[in-house]
Amino acid sequence: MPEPREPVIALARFGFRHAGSDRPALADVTLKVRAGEYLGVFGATGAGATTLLTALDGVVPQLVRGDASGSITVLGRDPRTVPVADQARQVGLVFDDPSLVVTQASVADEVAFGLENLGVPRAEMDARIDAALRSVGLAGFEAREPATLSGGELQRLAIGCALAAGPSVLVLDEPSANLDPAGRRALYGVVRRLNREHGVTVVVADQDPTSIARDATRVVVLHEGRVAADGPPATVLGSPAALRRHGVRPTDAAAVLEALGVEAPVPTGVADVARRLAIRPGAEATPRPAAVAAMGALASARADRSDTVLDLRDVTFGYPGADRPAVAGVSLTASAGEVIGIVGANGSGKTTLGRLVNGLLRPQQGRVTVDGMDTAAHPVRSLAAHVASVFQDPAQQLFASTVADELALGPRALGLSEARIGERVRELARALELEALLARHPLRLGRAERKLVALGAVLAMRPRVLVLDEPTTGTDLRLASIIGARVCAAAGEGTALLIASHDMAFLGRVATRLVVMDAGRVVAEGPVHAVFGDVPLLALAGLEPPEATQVALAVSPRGPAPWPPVSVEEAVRVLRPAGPAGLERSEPAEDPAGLDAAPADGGSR
Amino acid sequence: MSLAASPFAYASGSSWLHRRSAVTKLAWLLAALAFSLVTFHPVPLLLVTTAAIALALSAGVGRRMGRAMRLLGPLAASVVVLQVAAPAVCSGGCIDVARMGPVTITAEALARGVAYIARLLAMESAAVVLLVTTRPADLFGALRRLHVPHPVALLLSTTMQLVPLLQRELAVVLDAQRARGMRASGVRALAPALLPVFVAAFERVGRLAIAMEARGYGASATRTSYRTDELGPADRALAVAGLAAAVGGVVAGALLWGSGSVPPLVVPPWAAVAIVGGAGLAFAGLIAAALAAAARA
Ligand SMILES: Nc1ncnc2c1ncn2[C@@H]1O[C@H](COP(=O)(O)OP(=O)(O)OP(=O)(O)O)[C@@H](O)[C@H]1O
Ligand SMILES: [Mg+2]
Repeated sequence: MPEPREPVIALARFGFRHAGSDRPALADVTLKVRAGEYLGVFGATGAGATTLLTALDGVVPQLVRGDASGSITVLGRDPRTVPVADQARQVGLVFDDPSLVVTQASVADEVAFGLENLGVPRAEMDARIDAALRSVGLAGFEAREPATLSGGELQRLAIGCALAAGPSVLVLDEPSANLDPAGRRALYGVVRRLNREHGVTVVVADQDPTSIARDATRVVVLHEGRVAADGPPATVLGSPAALRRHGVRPTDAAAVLEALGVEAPVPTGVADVARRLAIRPGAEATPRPAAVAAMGALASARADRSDTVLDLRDVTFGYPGADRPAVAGVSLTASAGEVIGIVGANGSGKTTLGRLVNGLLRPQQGRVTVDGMDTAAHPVRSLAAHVASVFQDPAQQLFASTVADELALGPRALGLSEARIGERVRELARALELEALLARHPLRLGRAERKLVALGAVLAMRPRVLVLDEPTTGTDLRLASIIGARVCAAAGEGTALLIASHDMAFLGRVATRLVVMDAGRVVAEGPVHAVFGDVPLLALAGLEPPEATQVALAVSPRGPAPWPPVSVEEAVRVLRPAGPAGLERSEPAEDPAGLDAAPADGGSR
Repeated sequence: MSLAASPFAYASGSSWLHRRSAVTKLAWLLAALAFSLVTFHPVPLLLVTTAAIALALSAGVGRRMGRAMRLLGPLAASVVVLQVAAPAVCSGGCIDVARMGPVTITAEALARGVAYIARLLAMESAAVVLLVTTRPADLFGALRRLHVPHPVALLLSTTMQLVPLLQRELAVVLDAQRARGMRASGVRALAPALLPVFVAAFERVGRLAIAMEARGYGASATRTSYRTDELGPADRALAVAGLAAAVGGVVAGALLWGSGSVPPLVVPPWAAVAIVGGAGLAFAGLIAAALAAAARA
């Protein structure tokens, strides 16, 4: 690591209030970041991370209006006075919304765009574009139209664009939100290399602390616009209880250690956790069978229902001009009350599958039947009463001028009476904790809140089949648990859910069944425990199980079926040293999936 | 998903025309405009249109051009309809050539209508060739090079950049509306639904513009270009030739072809009816197509 030099970023009592908002997004932030530091920024939704990050290149307050106070200096200049476009020469900013990167006609042009703006000579461009695209895994995508990329591919492009410009300060807002596990590793690998080898100063905000915990030299936690904690990652991220108080998700590893009462947990990865667990006094080599048996309960309780509401038969779809179908020969059925997780690397066809289910795309071969209706034979609009979806990019499906109207739109289209609409809106606003936001404009909300509103809008239609595309990207602890609870409640009411997600921890908590996709095909399917337990298979598809599962597997590769545990709660329960029966649970409130359901068999492939 | 690219937006490519500097292309657009505005004579107007089409074909964007002209053609046709519907003012009496129901077609009105069509097509085809083969970002660079004030250059090129993005956003939002069970189509639905759709799309486009600035768009540094060649001797010569052509066009227009006046177009009645009827049909077709597009499920 380079010798710490003078601060490249210095904020002193910096504050910012968005125009039209009554409470500041940032207040009294004092922060110094030295050249070559790697700063992780954490905070609940709305805690001010995005405002802080976008202030570094002057977007706040130059282009996003509001009142700024205090002082801010970046690379010796006040970003409030340097034109944003000029600041871009030094500060590379990746926004939390990857679709904002789409402005050019091809992927190569998109990367070139930033280089042209900075006046990079033409002769250097090809090499830089090449290197940037390779480092984000987009080699071969040069001629693709950015508007047709998958969510994760777009995210990679946004990062590639920033990397190509070679900034001396790299600012990343939720960069891993849409990435598959392999992509996430690769991204943080690149960032680490830039930081360690090239001395690039890094500021990154991410709801997923796993990678940052390992790489950052320093971590800041924001709480309601103020700095609530500031220190080395081991100290700040090592106290899960404190993190949760600020609405920040601890790493699974730290959470497991904490729940098992291991002192001063320093989260340095799965292997380390397993080692600590193995040497802890009273450790037990094999997990307790009774605790394991309880894990399968959820899956089998749901699988009892037999009414099929969704049936895909040998479905194939290819986009015009693509060299292989995005979805190829997929067959899948879903029963009422099932929660099916769709996992797969970026571009494996998850979103396309969802669009085939809601009728926005028609299969080129095969049949999709939703609630008894062949999607090819009905207009999307009439399918909407039966199948609803939350898109990967929630901004694309919000178009009312208030959150309340947004929630009412669907029921209104279904022709419900105003009284019943009002009732549904109130009920949902309460369940999703959106009451305070009802009068706000949906598109002025943060990305994660928009996701919640979009979810509410489709839940309001009470569909038989619900397709959720990456429902938890960028969501904090609270929002993720609200979403988890709503998913389980909807399943309890008999909705079949299809959830495409890279958030393995989330799927571990809510899914009953997993479908693994690879290059458009279903390569594996089965109960959640069985699929997450098959690490080699997941690796082939560019995936890995939740961190809690990895920890449990590292402690004990084998165990009684259904092995392994797939969530922190399950891992803690089975890894806890044997003691009196009916051990108190560590986090009873955070168990939306109802893991306490009566034990039953099932859950094996 | 309806993601068809806008026919007026840049079509990526690396043809010889794509690689010409935007400065050169602007000079030639200027020449085309000079030719088309200075005269109503059919020969130069046809020449400009033909040249534009030939250029488009040579750059491999003929289809794009075709799509653009299919949209603009009917619009041009409406000029004939309007000219005929509005009685022409003729010194010394108009020459009637035909009657279509209550409407009398005069040779003067017909001539003006046809002349305007020719002029519009010439200007449109030239502009479309430029738009389709020039990246908006390069246009910004060229305008700055020509010392167009920074805000004006940025506004012009950003508008070009954002119009196709707006179109794409609209398509996406309409898709989303259908998935929510709303009538995202048909005249009945469009009235109430369209306003929020536009607001949403504009909101997104505004964010896109911010993101572009954060990537350095509009920076004070001299831009380089990925797709176009350096403004080398060949490009410079071509640009100068374009300017010369513009001047030549103005002079020739004034001296050779007569600048403003249009001689009456005396044709047999059936030809007059055919011209006006055809234009009317094209115009009606445009309206029908717009309604159908809106009603497409
Ligand atoms: N409109 C389109 N035109 C052409 N190709 C497309 C289009 N949309 C998606 N694709 C391609 O189809 C494949 C599947 O895309 P899809 O969006 O379904 O992936 P995904 O599994 O949802 O990925 P992610 O995890 O990144 O969201 C990808 O290779 C993608 O590039
Ligand atoms: Mg996707």
